[in-house]
Amino acid sequence: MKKRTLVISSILLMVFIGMQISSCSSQRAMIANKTGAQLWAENCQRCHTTPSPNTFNDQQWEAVGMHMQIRANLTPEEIAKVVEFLQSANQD
Amino acid sequence: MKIFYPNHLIRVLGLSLCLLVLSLNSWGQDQNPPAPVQTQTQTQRNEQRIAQKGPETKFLLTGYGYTGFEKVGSENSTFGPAGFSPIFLWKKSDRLFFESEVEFEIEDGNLNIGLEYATLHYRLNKYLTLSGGKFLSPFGIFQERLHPAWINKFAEKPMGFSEEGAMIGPMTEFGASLRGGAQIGLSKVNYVLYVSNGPTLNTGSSNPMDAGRLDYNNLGDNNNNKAIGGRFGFLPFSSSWLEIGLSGQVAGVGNSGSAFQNVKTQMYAADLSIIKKVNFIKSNVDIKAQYNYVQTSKTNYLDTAGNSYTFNNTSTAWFSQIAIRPMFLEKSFLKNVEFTGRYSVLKTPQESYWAIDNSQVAMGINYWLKWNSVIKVNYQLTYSKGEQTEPGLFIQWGLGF
Repeated sequence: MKKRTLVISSILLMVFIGMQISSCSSQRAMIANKTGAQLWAENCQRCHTTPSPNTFNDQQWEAVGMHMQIRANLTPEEIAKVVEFLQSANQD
Repeated sequence: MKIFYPNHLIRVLGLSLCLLVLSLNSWGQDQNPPAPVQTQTQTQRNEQRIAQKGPETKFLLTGYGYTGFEKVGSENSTFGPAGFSPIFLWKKSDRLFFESEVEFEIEDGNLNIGLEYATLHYRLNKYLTLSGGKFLSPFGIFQERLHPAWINKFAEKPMGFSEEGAMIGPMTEFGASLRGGAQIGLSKVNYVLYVSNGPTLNTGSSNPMDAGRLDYNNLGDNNNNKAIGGRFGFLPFSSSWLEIGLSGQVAGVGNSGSAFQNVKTQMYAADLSIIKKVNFIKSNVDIKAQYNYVQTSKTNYLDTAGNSYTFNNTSTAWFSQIAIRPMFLEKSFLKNVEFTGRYSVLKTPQESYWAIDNSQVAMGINYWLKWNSVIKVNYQLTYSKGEQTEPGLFIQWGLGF
């Protein structure tokens, strides 16, 4: 019972900390201004090596993007920028 | 449906409320986006739309394959295992998506074929996706994100995370889930909440040696008490280099109407992921760790002589691993080399017939031929309580496609 309480408390604490981390306008702007290339590098390598843009064509990247958004729980803004970057950087 | 665990339901509802608060908080920040600048004529926009328009369904056949060679202890050396796992992705619209993986594997002289996952997804809004079917379990990070051969840094899975020996925690779930992610200031959170068939208790009726084990391949449920589980991940830094996660699952595991119908299991996991460029060694350092704890309530089983006995049914498995790749060196050969190390521990109930108390050290060198193709050479030592240390040599070639 104590362990369960500890786990639930930890989750709530993490939520609280997350919400308390400052979200001032300059920070929001920094996040909003991240490029697709930057997000591609930051997020893909959390699990695997970063794929070459030439691996897939534009439409295939859309399918991969939705797959990875769901699997890695990325935000829609992040995956839209990543897919746009990969589509613009490939040879398709 | 008989309802179990009112206290668990309260916690689940509490967690759901937190997710809702998060959604509203982030939603509030995203209101009133700036109007797009009108720099194109309507005709130009129409032409662009027609040029970009592709088929309604975006389909991709992707996946991975692997083959290898191994020599474990005093056993004969052998080529294998080898596997082929095609993954089918269909994006039907911006909201509707289907994915499936079929697994073919040759191991120990047998060809195993399985449906790893088949999942339908519907994006409800920017913060929540509803999914249903068979899916990789979000209990921790290993099974959902790290297990494919071209992603796993080692030829073998950590002890307790594969079906060899004992599985401590689920690999897949059969049910439904709600999941998503959100930006909160500089930090990010991600969340999954699911309901599934959950595991089944092996009562030892067909083999007393397995009494008390959990079978996670519960495709047709053995009771009406569904498993409820979830994971919450937190990425405190804006560049996403650190993620910590907590997972939990509660489930009724005994057969309905049997003497085991009140047997329950609760399981928890904590996971850690760090990926960071370290300038002074010109390398990317990748650290992953996961701790799984599974406890099944005490009940009576029959031993091999037909006598009743019981035991404290608690199992744990954990691993921590590091991979260092000097990818910022100028030498093209060295930048493709990766040095790896892993320590894993597996403990199952010592009073049971399936008692295991093992630890394992694995070291390796990987060579990346391409971003999705790796050759791994691993040497590992497995320490078993009261037994001789077992060495193992593994060579594996993995390819994602």
